Amino acid sequence: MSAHAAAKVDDRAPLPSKRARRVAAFYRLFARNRSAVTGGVIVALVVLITVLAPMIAPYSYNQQDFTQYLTPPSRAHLLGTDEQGRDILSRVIYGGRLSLPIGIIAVAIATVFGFLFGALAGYFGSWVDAVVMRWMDVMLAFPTILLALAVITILGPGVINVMIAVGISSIPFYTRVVRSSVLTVKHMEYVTAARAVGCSEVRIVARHVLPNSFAPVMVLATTGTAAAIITSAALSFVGLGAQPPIPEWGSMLNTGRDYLRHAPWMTTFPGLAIVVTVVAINLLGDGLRDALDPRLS
Amino acid sequence: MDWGQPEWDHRHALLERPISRRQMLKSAAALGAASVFGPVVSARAQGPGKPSGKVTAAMYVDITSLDPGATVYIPGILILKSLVETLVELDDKGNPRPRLATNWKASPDGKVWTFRLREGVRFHDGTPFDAEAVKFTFDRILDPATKSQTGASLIGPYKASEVVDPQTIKMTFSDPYAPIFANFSNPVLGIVSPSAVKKYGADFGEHPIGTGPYMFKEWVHGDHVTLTRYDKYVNTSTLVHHKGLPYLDTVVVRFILDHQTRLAALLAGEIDFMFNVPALDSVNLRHDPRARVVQTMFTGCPTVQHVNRQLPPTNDLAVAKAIQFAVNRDVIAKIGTQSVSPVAWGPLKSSNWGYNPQVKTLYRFDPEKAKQLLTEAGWVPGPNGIRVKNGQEAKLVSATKDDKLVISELEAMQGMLRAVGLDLEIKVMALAASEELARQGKNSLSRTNWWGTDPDILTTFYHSKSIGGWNFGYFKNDEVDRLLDTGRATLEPKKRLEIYNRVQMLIMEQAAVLPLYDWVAINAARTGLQGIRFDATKYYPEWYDVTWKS
Repeated sequence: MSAHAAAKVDDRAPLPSKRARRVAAFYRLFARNRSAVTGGVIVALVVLITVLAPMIAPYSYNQQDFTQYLTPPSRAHLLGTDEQGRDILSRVIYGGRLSLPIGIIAVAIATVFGFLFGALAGYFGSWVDAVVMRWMDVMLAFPTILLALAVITILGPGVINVMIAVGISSIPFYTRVVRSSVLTVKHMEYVTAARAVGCSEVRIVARHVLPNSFAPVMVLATTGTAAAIITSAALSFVGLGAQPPIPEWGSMLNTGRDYLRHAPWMTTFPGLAIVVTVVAINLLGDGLRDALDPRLS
Repeated sequence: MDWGQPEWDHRHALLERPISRRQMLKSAAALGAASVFGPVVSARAQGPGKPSGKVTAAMYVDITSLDPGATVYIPGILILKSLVETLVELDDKGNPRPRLATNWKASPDGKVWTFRLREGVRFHDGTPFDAEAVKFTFDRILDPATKSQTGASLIGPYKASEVVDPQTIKMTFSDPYAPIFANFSNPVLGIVSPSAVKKYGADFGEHPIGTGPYMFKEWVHGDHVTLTRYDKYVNTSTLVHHKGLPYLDTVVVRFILDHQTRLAALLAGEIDFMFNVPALDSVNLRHDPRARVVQTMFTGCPTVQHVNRQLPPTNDLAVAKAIQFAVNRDVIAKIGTQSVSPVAWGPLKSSNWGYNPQVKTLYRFDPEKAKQLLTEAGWVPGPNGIRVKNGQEAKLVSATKDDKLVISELEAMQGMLRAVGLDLEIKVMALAASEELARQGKNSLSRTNWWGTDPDILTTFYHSKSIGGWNFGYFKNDEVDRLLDTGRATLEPKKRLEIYNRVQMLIMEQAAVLPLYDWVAINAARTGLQGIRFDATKYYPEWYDVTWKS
């Protein structure tokens, strides 16, 4: 193995841990991928901007100024104003504070439950596996957006409910990934050994089996965040997400639609924000996958 | 005032009058001329366009039922206008004209009305129109099983009818009813076929049968309603521009709720007439060769937000009045209508004959005054800017339909109210759901518009008996109730005006409603569609004379 060969052999110094070698190799592979790094930088920038919103945004997201009804981009309002005279730039920045966390938390929900169900199905097999996976099959039969729509119709509109709805509709993907990772290791010798030594099943799963699926889940989570952002924007677009006057990129697209002919800046900039964020996350995710590839095979 | 015999009575009783020799000669000459120039003349008489064809109109609200007794929404009334007919109709000056009734007279005390009904009219199902049908229709509105909301209000103090003979009906009222003609001309009180109602029962709303120029063909829920020409139609109206059958053989009314989608459909030629063109788009439409703008200042109530005077915190008069001073109506009119609609200050539109201009003197846009009123009443700004009194925050809530222009208006109001320390939560949902919450009194602010020629429409919104119905503001004021009841029963117009003037001032002094603007209806028609005539409310178009330029 290249990692071994590359390490200097010194009888007195301790060998670098396997983990340390892995991490080093990962960084090397990742840094070589330009588009991945670009994606990563952009994502970091977006996160930074939205976190620093109160300091960066020129106006409050809710600051109405009725003398500035539907004005095009100008020095006072770099991205123009909407029908309430609110600054579009500020609303796009603050909107990121909603759109990004929605994506992240939705993925977090999906990941947690994905691990739970994937571990159950993969590790215990037989009827547990059958029940869980058939249930996942049912969910997978629906297009994700429809499933999210169904959930939010039951829960009602709102930001928290969007996170839950998108999270729930993504669970099957994570379950499948975790399950297949679990299946690859569950028959390995060290698992049998751990059991022989007296480790509890839970400890075996948590300590020895699941870590094997961290890498593929991480890749899925990254691109999944992008998908979650789009799905939540779609839900807000039809009025089921953030309620007025909260700025959310999807609902800004919806409001701007009626003014498309007269004030195209109302839809262009939130739309660009979604595109840039999603593309950046996807590039990042692709880079992660490529860098982790040796690990997966 | 003597409502008595309409001036048109004699022209319709032609057959009963003896004809003079001169008239006989004149008719003979005309007949002779007609037979020679017949074909040319008759083609012309059918109208400048083709005697067939279809018109597709699109509405911005969906319907719940086509049962006139139950219908509550505008598109339902629009469709019913062609399906059913009323006893009378109003002309442009507000005078009653015969429709299914040919003449009428009231008893000296005004409590008994006798109507003579038109002969030879049949329902779409072939059954004859007669006094029994009229009695059936009206008694049905009173029956709680019909669940009539609008009809029950318009029928006024109607108690019972007596069928004197098939062409004569005697109606008894508990009080004289001044707005009888304005209200009886509403399609909600259109005459329905008793045999059809008996046949369909609760499903009558899915199979409406009347005497109108168009028949019901199908209703694809959520999508459209199709009407076809009633080939045995007997012309009953004196206001139309031709006699005989309607020109077009099909009328389709589609429900396209999204403004932009509806507009796109009009420009693409998928629909021929659209209601409610967003003001911003109407500017471009005026220069578009494909369509023309058809604008009407209809009469009735302005677009308003009813303020719930029983739900905290708007049950506090100081809060209700603060809202009047806090909201900049010019901005709301700008956002909602591009300032095409003038700002409103009272519960009636300025175009209504009963309008009291004094309502303009009560309030103005003055946020400082609003803050002052709140502070004086003990509403102190809390840590987050929301005012608090006795531990209770000034939190208002408004459930609204998912209409972007309406939501934008509410967002603007939200900001204006926040500026004086009142918090407004906006909940977006389907129209029916939002109105249900309003009916239950759970909304602080509820939006309505209304159509009508008589100031008696105030009863529908501000009489305490309408609570649980259209009185979304849960407004209960004994003097207003008494005045509204008296106004209904007073026949002398000057006295009625005095009464309604007082009612408007009382409603505004109690800040029971936040009038926004006198909504000017901006509709659009495709170029080539002609003959569109609006009824006395100036909101509902009639399809009878409509044709295509050939």
